[in-house]
Amino acid sequence: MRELLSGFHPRFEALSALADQTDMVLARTRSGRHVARCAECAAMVREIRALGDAARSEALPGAPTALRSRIEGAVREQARAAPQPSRATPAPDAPEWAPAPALRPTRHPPTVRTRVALRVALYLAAAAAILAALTLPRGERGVLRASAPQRMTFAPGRPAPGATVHVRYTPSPAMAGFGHLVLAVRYADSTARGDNLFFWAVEYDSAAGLRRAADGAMVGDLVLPANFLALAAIVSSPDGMTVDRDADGPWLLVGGDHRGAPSLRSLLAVPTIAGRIPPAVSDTLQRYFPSHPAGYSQAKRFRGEGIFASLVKYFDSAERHYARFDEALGKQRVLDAERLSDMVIFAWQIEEPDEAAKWTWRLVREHPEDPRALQYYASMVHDREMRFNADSARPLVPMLATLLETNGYRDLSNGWARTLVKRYGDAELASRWTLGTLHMSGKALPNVDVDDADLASPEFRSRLGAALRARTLTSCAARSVRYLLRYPREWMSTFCERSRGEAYATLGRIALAEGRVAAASAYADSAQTLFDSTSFCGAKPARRLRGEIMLARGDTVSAARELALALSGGDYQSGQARDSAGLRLRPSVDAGRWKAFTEDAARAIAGCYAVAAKARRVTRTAPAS
Amino acid sequence: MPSLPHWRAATVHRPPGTPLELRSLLLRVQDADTAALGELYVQYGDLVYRTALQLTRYSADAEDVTQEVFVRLPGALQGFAGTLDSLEGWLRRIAVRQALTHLRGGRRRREVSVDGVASLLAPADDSLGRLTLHAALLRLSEEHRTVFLLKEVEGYGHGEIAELLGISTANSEVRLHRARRQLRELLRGSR
Repeated sequence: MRELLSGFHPRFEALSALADQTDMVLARTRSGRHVARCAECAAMVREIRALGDAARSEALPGAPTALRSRIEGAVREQARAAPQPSRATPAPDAPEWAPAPALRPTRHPPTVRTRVALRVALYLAAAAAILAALTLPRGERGVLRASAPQRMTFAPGRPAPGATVHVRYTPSPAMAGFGHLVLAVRYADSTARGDNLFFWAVEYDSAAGLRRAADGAMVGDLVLPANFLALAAIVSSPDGMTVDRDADGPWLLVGGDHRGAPSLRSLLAVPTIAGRIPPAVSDTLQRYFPSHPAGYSQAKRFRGEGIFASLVKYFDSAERHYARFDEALGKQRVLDAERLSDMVIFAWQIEEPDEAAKWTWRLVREHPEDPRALQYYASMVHDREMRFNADSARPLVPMLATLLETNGYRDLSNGWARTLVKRYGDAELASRWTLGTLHMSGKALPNVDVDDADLASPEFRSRLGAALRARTLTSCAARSVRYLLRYPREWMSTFCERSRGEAYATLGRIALAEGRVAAASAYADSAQTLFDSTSFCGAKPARRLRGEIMLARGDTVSAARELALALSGGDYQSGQARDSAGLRLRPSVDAGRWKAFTEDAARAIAGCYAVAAKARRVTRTAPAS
Repeated sequence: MPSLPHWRAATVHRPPGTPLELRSLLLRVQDADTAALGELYVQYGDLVYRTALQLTRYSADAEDVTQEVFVRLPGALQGFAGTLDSLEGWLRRIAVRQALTHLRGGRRRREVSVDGVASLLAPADDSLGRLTLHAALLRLSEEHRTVFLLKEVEGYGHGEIAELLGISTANSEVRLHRARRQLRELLRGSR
């Protein structure tokens, strides 16, 4: 086995699991060693741990005093309803409070003969386990996961496009009180490959109503679209405030052909709604499409460290399957993006970064328009960055911006690729990257994420300004097609208005960079107005712009007040930004005065939220079950 | 490793007097002595209420849970076989179980602060300063939030959580990862 230093960052789940471990345990795992070398992953582990710290330090109020009389009243009421015999007064010589007999230790330590027998049994069990590990096939194929009846069933189980599906849902206790329910679904989209999707209730559309059947189940019929591939389903109360779904995600319905046989296209579309291929789907792929790598690439494999693990891995069928696909697909001059992508993932799964790089290059060369090309290419660059040095990664970075422009990659939330561009790219490349993200169609970007250094380029300012002006003209009328679960529809308008405010604030920064202070001030007013109309306490982007404008005018003290409001917040980044601003404001505003400004700002913003919360509090009562 | 919640050890009031007095108080509570129950509420009401509030997130629900715990305490104490030192942990476990029963029962009285959730919609680079953890937790689904809080705040292991919620250990781990992921996205003001 080659030494592994995979450039593929561990999945979030792996980092989350690592966050629960001690640093000593971390150092013993592959992912832990990656985290030790990778600053981004280490930062994410710190963030995950910080979530727990924040939850533990959450200040909670004490019990209300009035509750005591309520409890006493309820106890009296209970006593009246069912009078209990009085407990006998304990005798004066009653023993001290002691553990109940059931909790006292009653088992005697094992005898020497028993110990020997136990030891022999332990050795036999260990030998049997090793034998089983070496001989039994691994993977998900043999694992029976379903141990209880599904609470939602579809008939037919593998519907063809355009078919009518009968849905039967057994309500959870929380849903049992509703007379009717809404089936909300998200359809798989074959054009959405590479998106990093996971459960968000707001992304589901209402598809059918569920009515109560005689046996208490909720039933309904769903007509599938003509281009149906697969869907993820959840159940919502009519008001959208209560949602039910399967144990660890939505229920999945994967389409088939007109004979009810599995469809490769439908199976391959599942990751667009489920994040990755679930075990049941990879099992179907392996059984029905054994010549396609998809069924094997994401199947769960043996993972482990050390000599024993290496020995077991040698016998693991995953590597043999990889070699088989590598030989078969490597001979073909042109491959579809799906197979190439699966081979990248497969190579990553068996921990072979050079193999992953080989297939990534093929994907980039043959399908640069595929969204996954950028994602895998960024991982490959990061791998080189870690295994070798910056010089080996730097020449590869410009391709990132080219791929972004080519394929319009839609999910940049993880920021890995952007980090590489910022780390190794020059100003021109950084500008290309930022503009590339701006031109992603159909998605409101609340955070344009423009560095001051980017604004040095006149061409960049011009193109960015045009894009932002277009955004300020966007209508924020609530969308009517989306069924917004849990949240009132008007909140989407609020989100949109704040995005427009953000655009005005960035336009103001552009104006300021060009020396047009009056125009910047007008943009700051527009941004402030939009933020105020949406009760955005602090209106930080507008305040920050105002602070910069006042600094440009030489009014340092007023600038300090605005910047203190703009940079308030308890997080690490805000603290760093505050320290940096404090240094810029000296000597007109010394450290003590700057601290006083920041404390005033924090109090003002906290007060603003408290007032707004009090004014807008509403009470909703969910129906009793 | 995560540290214990600061209020777990710091803000719980120890009963005054000797262990004998506390034992006597517990015996009186077992006899359904209302005044004794009130005294016990003064000592342990905050502990139970905060545990319930942590899981239910709504004060009305937490009050219901606290009331239910204390009303059933006379009967439940007869099954309490631990030492006085373990009373606090025992009460906490009862509160957790009662809160989960309450959540499962769907009898919730929800007091929703619109502003709390509306504040989630502010632009991203302001997210950490603007968004409270409480608001972000409210936006999680109940099952994800429950697992996150049981693990991170109450300190339960995945095996215990699985037993409490009637799910598998793997499911508990998946829910925790998803809860963390969503919280992180929310707190970072992700798209």
